[in-house]
Amino acid sequence: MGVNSNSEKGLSFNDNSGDSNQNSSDDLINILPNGFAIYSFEKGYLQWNKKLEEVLGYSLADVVSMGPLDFYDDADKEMVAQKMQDDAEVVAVEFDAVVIAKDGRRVPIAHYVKAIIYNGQKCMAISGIDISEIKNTEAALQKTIKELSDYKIALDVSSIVSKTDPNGIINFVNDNFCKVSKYSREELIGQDHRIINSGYHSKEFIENMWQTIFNGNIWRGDICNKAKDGITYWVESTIVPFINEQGKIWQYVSIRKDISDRKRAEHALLNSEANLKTIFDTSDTAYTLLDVDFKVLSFNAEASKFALNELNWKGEVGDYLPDYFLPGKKHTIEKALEDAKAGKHINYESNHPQPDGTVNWYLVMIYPVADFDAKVLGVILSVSNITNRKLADLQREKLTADLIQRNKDLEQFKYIVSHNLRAPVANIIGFAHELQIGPSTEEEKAMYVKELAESASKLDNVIKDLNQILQVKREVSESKELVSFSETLQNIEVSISNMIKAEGVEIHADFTAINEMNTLKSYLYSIFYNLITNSIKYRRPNVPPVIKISSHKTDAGITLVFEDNGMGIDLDKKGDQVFGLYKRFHTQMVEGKGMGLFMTKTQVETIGGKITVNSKVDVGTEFILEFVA
Amino acid sequence: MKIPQRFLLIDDDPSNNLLTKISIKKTIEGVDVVDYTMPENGIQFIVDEYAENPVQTVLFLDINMPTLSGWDVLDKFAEMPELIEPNFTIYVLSSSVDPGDKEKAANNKLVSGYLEKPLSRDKLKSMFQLV
Repeated sequence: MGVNSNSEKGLSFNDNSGDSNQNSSDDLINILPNGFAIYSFEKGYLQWNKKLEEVLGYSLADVVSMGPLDFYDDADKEMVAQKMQDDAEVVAVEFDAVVIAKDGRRVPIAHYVKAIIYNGQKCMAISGIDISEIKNTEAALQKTIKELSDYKIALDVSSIVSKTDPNGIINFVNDNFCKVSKYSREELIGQDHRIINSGYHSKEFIENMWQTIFNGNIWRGDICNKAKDGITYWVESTIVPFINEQGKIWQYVSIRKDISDRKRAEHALLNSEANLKTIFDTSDTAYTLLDVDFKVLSFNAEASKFALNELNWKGEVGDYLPDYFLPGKKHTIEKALEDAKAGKHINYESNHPQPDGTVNWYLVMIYPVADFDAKVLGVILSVSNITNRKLADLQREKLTADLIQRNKDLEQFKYIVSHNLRAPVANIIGFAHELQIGPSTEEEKAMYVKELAESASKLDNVIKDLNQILQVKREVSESKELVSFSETLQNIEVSISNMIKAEGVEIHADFTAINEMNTLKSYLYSIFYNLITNSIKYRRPNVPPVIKISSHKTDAGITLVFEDNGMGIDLDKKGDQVFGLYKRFHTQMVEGKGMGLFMTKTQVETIGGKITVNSKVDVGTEFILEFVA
Repeated sequence: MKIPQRFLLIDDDPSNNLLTKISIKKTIEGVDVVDYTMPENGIQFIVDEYAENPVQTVLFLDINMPTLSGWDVLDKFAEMPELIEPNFTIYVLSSSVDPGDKEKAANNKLVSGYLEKPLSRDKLKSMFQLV
């Protein structure tokens, strides 16, 4: 392992033979743990120990026949030649060089070369250590260092990194840290880490964090920090305490990620959820969310109010909702829920009678809740109290009906004014005129005066009738009471007893089904009176009047029937005029001015009833009065 | 207008019939005046009388009557034109001051005119140019 310009000179084994010192040193070098060789500039390799043979595979014989640099790696040959120049005579040199072993392996060898005199010759003592393993370790270390450095770069680029000493004094920040905190590196180094505290977190939170890292544990969490300009930002942080060989923390490294956007989104979501919840709970509409089996999933405050008031349901999640509806309504609600589950939007109004006699009205809407794939997840039942609106509607309907009735009344009034009021006036004008011109005789004069008086009284009657009708139409001030049908009839029989006797009237009453109703006494009397006297007035000539009166209980309330055997009315012709004011269907032979039935109808309607008529000429007439209980 | 041989009054109000009859008799002496308070009877009179003894007649017809209204009577007349058209001049004599009634009368071809009650002598005179 030496080099010499004239290295081609061989070295003979014979030169060394016969020297006992030589032999003992041979044995010595063979037990050295390192490779050892002696190279003579003149005679080439003189010694080559077993270790070298073991490591490189070459024997002394092999290397003697080889050129001195032949087994070095081409890349190292020049360097080795240099090192083994003359300077080696004075100073020992150390260098590493790669030797190509006999089997072709590349073996890095650490060389220690020193010039010696061996057997009187100027030689080089070369000690070599196989450093393959060291080299491998070094390479692995280099790789690890490179990797670590790559990690650091990656971390620097991706994260916000800072390091502090055990007391929390910043001694390193990366660019991201400066960027997000808006402090320069100079402003941060040497400062307490608390410089970026936002004050957002509780004392407990901060203490817990310090406790964790102080005990040598890694802490993870979201922290709100404050930048130099006062604006806060959120970072997802990992703080790693670094522990030295003595088990003491020597620095803290914190690695953070900016999550301000995520935090803002979270806040927005929380806010909007809170807002929705607020709307849900403060809505005056009751909402109940049901699953596909109609079990309650959730409901708002209004829903629990409605449930308690109208369904007597305490409102528990998991209850089967239809169970809480009235037996009559259970199937209806189940059907509606099924329909909604099938995708329909259901909509109906429902009334709930209250103990105080009023009625609450609700608008019920049921609709399906579906996911993005249109799969029905449940149904929402929304119930809004529309009592006020409904009452207003009913009032408006009543008002409209009233207006229509008023208009009809006005039409009728116009007719009355044109005919019934105008007729006696025309007569008065006519007879007064005749009186002015001068009657021919005293008899004539007396007749005119008589006619004048009659017409005037007729006029007065019409005006009184009109006044009476207007009275009826006004709001009824009389209060309702229980009125007996039989008593009412008795009173009338007494008051018209003369007429009954004179005409031979028979009245058959049957009030066994029901004999009283809660109504206005004077109206019921008037209705009975008018219908009875009407039957007597319009009796058939020579047929004694027979009047049958009966009461009946119906689903809706009470029905009264008045039946006679009188002249009857041709309803095909006059049906629409039966209850008209001043409508008469019979001739002068019968007293009447067409007021009775008009008044009766008005009164029946005023006390909440309905009157209808059946009649056949020369057979009789039947009036049916229906009162809703 | 030529004075007819007969006046026929159909009105359920006997007072008005009396008044009209007096006016006619005092205006046109000796003329025949027949009055009916039941329109059915008036129609029967026409049917009975005019087939055999038709005379020129002025009819004063009321509208507002209980069993048959004036319009109903005119409807019946339309069914017997052979008796009505050659013999009758028909006036509606009504207390009504309703323009609707006047219009209805004007639209009925059997009706020659609409007179408002009372029917005074002056009105009759001017109708028959008796001034």
